[in-house]
Amino acid sequence: MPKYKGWAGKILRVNLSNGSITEENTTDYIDYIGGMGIGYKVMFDEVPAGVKAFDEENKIIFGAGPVTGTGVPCTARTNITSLLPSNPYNLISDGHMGGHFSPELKYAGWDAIIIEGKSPSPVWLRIEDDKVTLESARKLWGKGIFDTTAEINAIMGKEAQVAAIGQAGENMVHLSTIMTNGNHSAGGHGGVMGSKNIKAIGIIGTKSVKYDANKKDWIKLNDHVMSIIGANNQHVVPSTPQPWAEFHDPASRWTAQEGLYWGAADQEIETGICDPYDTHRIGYRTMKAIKDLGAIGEDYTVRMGGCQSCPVRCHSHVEVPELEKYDRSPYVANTCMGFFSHWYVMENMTEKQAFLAKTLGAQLADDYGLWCNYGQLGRDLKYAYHNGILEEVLPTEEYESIPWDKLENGDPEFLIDFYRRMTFKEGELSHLADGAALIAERWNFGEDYWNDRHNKLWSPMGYPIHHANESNGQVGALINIIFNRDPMCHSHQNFIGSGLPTKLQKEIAAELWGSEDAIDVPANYTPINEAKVKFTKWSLVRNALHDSMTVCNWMFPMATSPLKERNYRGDTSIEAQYFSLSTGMEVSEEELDLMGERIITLHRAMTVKQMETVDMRNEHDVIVDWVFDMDPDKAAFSPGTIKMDRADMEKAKTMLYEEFGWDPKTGAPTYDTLVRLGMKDVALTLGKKGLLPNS
Amino acid sequence: MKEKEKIDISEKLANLIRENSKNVKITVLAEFKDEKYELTDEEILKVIAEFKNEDKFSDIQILKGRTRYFFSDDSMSESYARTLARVEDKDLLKLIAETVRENSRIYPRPSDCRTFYKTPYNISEEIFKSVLEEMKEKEEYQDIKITEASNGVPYLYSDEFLEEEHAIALTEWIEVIRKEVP
Repeated sequence: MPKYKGWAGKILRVNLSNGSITEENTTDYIDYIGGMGIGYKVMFDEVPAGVKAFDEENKIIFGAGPVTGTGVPCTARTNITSLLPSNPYNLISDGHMGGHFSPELKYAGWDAIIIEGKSPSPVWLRIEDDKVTLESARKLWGKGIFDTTAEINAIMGKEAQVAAIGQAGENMVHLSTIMTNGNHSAGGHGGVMGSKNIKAIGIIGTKSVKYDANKKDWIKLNDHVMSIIGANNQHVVPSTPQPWAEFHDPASRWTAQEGLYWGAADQEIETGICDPYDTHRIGYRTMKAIKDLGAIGEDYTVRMGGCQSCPVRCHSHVEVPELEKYDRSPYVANTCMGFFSHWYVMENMTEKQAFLAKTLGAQLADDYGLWCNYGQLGRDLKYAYHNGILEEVLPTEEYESIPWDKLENGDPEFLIDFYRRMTFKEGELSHLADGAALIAERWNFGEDYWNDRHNKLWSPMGYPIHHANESNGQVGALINIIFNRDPMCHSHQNFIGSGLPTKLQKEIAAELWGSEDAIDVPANYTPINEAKVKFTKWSLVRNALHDSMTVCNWMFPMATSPLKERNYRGDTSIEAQYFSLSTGMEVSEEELDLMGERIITLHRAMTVKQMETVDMRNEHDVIVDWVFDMDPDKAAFSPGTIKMDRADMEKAKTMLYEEFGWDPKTGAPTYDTLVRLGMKDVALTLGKKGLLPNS
Repeated sequence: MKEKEKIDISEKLANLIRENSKNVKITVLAEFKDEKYELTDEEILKVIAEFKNEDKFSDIQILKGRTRYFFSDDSMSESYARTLARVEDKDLLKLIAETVRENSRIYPRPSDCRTFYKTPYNISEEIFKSVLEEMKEKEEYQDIKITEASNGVPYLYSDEFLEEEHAIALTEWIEVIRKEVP
């Protein structure tokens, strides 16, 4: 690619069926930026409707972007695109992982890897710059992710970055992950790799990422970001009252404070007061262990870790000697649902039991490569157990072999048995890992399964809430209907959870989305309005940009900052600056947002194509009833409830469809919009299939 | 007071306030007497009142409580200074009530009772509970209400700024719902 920098310029295509390894020019894809965008474009063009996740015709794309590996803050995400086996339609979806994998991909000279076909025998992909080979995975197959990673590092060297599946992926368990660096996992597609007989990818890159900016401008931008960056999720106030801070929020992930330590470090490390001007202490701000593991987590924390080029460090690295009694390593690292999901499996736990469940569970699931469907796996188990369904559907011998007493007594050892069954598909119980919609059908769950708010299901496709109506009402709700799994979109949640007073958030909202009405006071919602729709679209578009460029959607957009002298305003143009300075393609914020809009619309088009219907409103964008029926003694839009209103939600959908230029009745992309976004080819493809609205 | 003496005293007062603020300490009026400046309270206040006319002292701020408190906004926020002043006033009922009202008004959100057990409040749980009991008997604190999340954790709010239903929902949202969807 002679014109632009940032991109490596080449995409690697690996055909596992015939063993061919070829390269393509990234130029063909730069309108889609990278990562998620490249993934969607390849899938739309090359994977016909009707193909299922484990079919040979499916593909899986690992993508970086033009900003990945440049070293500016928070630019190390890897996007993985394929069909999702746990979705009843096997619709297109993404997983993402942090760590160091995608920067290494760039250093090796590649922007993405397209994997297609199916190998006749287990293999792993070895990439050392331009030297790419398929190696026998005969000795790796059957190993967990930790051992697989160690073996490949023993072969390639410890500097190699490895992404691998565990036994869950090998066995084509629907709920399975792909993991790198031992604690950064991408949920959903491990089984796709397993179905293709590819165990892992190992990369060494010795080149560099060329960016366009002169060094001075690049450093200036880096310093600017470091000056306005907050803590994890761009929380910009501390969790306790602190001398430097005008505001605080106990829910904030800026947890550093006097008397809070990395308690298991080999020297005394106090997180202390980390004011926003001390950029050398950014890595201490987010002592996440006390959020994810409880107060007890402090004593076990060796350090905080994270991704390449990220100063925030949101992964808790803990040493738990008690895990050795379960024959597991005492060293565990993860964050958020990587720990929480195991708590969802268990019940009746003391604080210590909960801590052990989370850490043991992470050890087990991370090694097996088992995914939780954002916590739904555990909730499905408990629903089926407590409603007597398991006693009905499991053979008696199987039911009686399961250590239910351990579950009921909060004994973390239950997870050892449970996760083994899921991973190795032992017995009928293992179908829980098919995914919520599939198990609900298989075991004939009643309406109560879908409509109990404590079950947290969002869509009849079987994915749960992920910053849905509890996150600014219609904004979160709309975001949760667009994707084909739980949306990993934090653009809106970061803003809502910034910790700033609502009045200040409203002022900033007015500047960004046209009106203070974009933001409601939590649990005191108002009907849908234009500003909320703009906020929603912005959130989705930015999410697509981040997963394509790649930057971390848990930190960006930086709409707020911790700086009183900026009146707590952040800088939403950073992504455009990153992109422009890296590639040399000067784009404004609006121009870059248009590229993100293209990617979201392409996702929508692919979903239409796969579902073979334009009626997205009624076939795809459906929300389960509890969202509207909860709190029966309260009306929607009254103080004290987060329930939504059906008519208002339909209106919200219509407004969002219109905002994207989709058909207001069906929510399908129109010919005109696809053309406007430079996707006439997509429009023609859908048109031929009769999948354009009013066609 | 001679001009030179006034300048010297001003510098000393400001530097004391600034040093204390850097050390996360609010300066009380009585502290100046300890420094033996041989000035009355009124004279000290008069000197500090004139700070606002000089750029070099623009960081020095005054808060009113039982007495006067001083801080430098170069190293301490007003909200934190206000909290320290309330602590110094040693009126626990007022400290808790004003903090709860502020949270209910500004954010708005109910206040996690556990916050008061830690820095900068450092109230023991036992004393905190007895203060809440005492509040129930006093007219001026009738707006301070208690609610519990579904996990039993208590929160306080002021019904002057938050309706009961809203406070209950917010308590659940903060304490339970937000944590369940990390």
